[in-house]
Amino acid sequence: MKILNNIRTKVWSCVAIALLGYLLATIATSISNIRITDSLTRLEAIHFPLALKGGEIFTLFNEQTMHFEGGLITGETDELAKAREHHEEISSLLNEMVQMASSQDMSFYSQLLTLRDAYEDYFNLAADQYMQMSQRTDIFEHTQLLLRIGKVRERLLVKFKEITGQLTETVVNEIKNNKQRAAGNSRLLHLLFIAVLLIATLAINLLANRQLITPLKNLKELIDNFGRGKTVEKPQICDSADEICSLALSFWGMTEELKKISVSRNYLDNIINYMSDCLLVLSPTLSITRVNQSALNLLSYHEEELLNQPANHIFSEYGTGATIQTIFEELLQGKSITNLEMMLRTRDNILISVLFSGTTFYSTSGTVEGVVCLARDIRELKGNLDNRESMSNFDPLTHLPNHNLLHDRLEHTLRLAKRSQKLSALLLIYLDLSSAIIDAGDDTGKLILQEAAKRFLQSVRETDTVARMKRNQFAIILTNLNDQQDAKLVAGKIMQEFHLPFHIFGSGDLILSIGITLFPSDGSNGSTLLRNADTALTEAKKQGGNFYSFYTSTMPTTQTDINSI
Amino acid sequence: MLLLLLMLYGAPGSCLAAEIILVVNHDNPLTGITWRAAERIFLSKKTEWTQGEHIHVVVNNEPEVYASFCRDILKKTSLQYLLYRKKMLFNGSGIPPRVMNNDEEVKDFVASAKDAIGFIRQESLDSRVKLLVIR
Repeated sequence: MKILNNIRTKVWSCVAIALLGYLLATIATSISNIRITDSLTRLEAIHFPLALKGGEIFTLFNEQTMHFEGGLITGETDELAKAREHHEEISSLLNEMVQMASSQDMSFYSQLLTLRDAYEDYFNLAADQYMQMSQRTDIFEHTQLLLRIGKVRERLLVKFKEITGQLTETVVNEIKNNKQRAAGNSRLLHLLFIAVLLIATLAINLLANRQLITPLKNLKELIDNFGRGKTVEKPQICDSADEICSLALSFWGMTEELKKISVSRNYLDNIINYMSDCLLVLSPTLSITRVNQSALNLLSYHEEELLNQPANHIFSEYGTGATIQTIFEELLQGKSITNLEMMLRTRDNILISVLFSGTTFYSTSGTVEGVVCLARDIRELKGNLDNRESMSNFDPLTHLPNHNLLHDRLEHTLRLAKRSQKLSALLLIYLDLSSAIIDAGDDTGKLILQEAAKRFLQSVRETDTVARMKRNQFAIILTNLNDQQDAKLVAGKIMQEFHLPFHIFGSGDLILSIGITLFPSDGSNGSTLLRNADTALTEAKKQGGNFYSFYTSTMPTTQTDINSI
Repeated sequence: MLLLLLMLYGAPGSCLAAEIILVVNHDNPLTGITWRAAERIFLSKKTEWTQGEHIHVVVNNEPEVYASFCRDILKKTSLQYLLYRKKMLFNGSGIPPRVMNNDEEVKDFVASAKDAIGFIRQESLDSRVKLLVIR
């Protein structure tokens, strides 16, 4: 069915089937009508005139007989003359009949020929004899001849009657035949009409089904599937020149193109759910409209517990230095926030450090549709940072050796001191940075610590070690001392250095306490020395600040864990 | 019947007609015949005896007998019967009657022909032929 490519051809082919059926019915009607017409024409031209003429001859023959009879009985020659006139008519009629029959009907033709000859013979004999006898008185003298003529006439009459009857019967039969033919035609046409109707209906149905309805149904299925988000198969092999098929192919092509340029919702959902960072979408009124699985896992919530909750249900203001309200107001005004360290509150009310980024997104009409929030759990990262600091040997802020290196140096110095029998000292210094200094901002605190480190270094020899132990705790190893006095000198020098003003905004006077332990006299390993120094520091702190104290074995040992120093 | 005959006799009046009887061969088993049957035989309408033999009709052409026969038996005039016979002849139907000239010829023929029937004067009846009574 390659020809039926466009819908117009398909519809026309349906119509053509119907028209073909109609044409068939019309042709059948015409043929049957022609048959009837032929038969009626023959009836009109031959059978009916033959029958009429037959009847006429019969009448004329009877009249002629009457004239003969009259002429014979009365001897009236006029009667015989009239009989002769009738003969002319009968002869011409018979000839006409013979003529007609010769063109059509063989049986009538031969019958009529015989009849004509018989009649002519009869007439010649009868006319002649009757003429002679009419002029004599006694006809009984010619009884036998008269009887013979009478018998001949009788037979002729019978024949005339017979043939007229036959001709009339033929006409009647022809009419009957035509009636039957017409009835038969009607029946045939009814059957034909039903058959044509059936065939046309079936054919049109089949054609419409195959060419229109099924392809359209397939196309609809294709579109429905696409609408439901199912994958759309390429339409079954069909002729691309076919209009419906090409429509289906175009649609399929469109879905393929769409597939290329867009991602399915499913695909997006997967991305969102499998991303490791927390994703939260807030409405313009700052209620939670969407939350991904990572966020749920982190915060130990079920999705339904979070949806439509206000943002501050999970965002904590702790450590941000601003309120949640102001942060989100900034966001809603169109500002973006990137990598802000802040806290999220879990279901169990535990605070989790996260790096927060947020951006407002807009609808196509330009109104604020919501806020996309990304939060990355940085607890582990923070732990690593601490770890890294301890793993390295220097404090990143002051660039002094850290407690790791100090431990190392301490052990080293201890071994040297044991061998050279020279005195060394370990000083633990606590800088009492008031909380005000710290609160003034990170930068102030950092600057003070850096300045402190500088002053420590200025107070000691180059061979001595200055280390930063904790946030505001420092340690110094002094080697090659002559006696305890040397250590005192250094401590005093440090105290002096710190009396000089710190020209840093917001800083007041710095109070420091120093604990001193000597070795190898006070201990034979680093841990002991550190613990002793801490004990001495605690003592110094007790003095109220800006004091130093030497460790003595009478001092109560502090419970401080050496590792934490 | 007698009354009817008397009435008919009275009609022509002038002519003193002879009494006409029907005669058949002695071999003919019939002794009597109805008037209607006799008429039918002479008008060639009945052509066979009851046994199936053809009836040989003999017409007595003796004028007096012929006229009486026409009048008494056929209830027609002589001319009427003549025309009737001519018509019959013309039509060629039936067997035309034999024509005899007097009673004697009739009797001779009837005596010789088994299936013949004829009519004669009553007084001419003799043993050669058998009287067929009209009932």
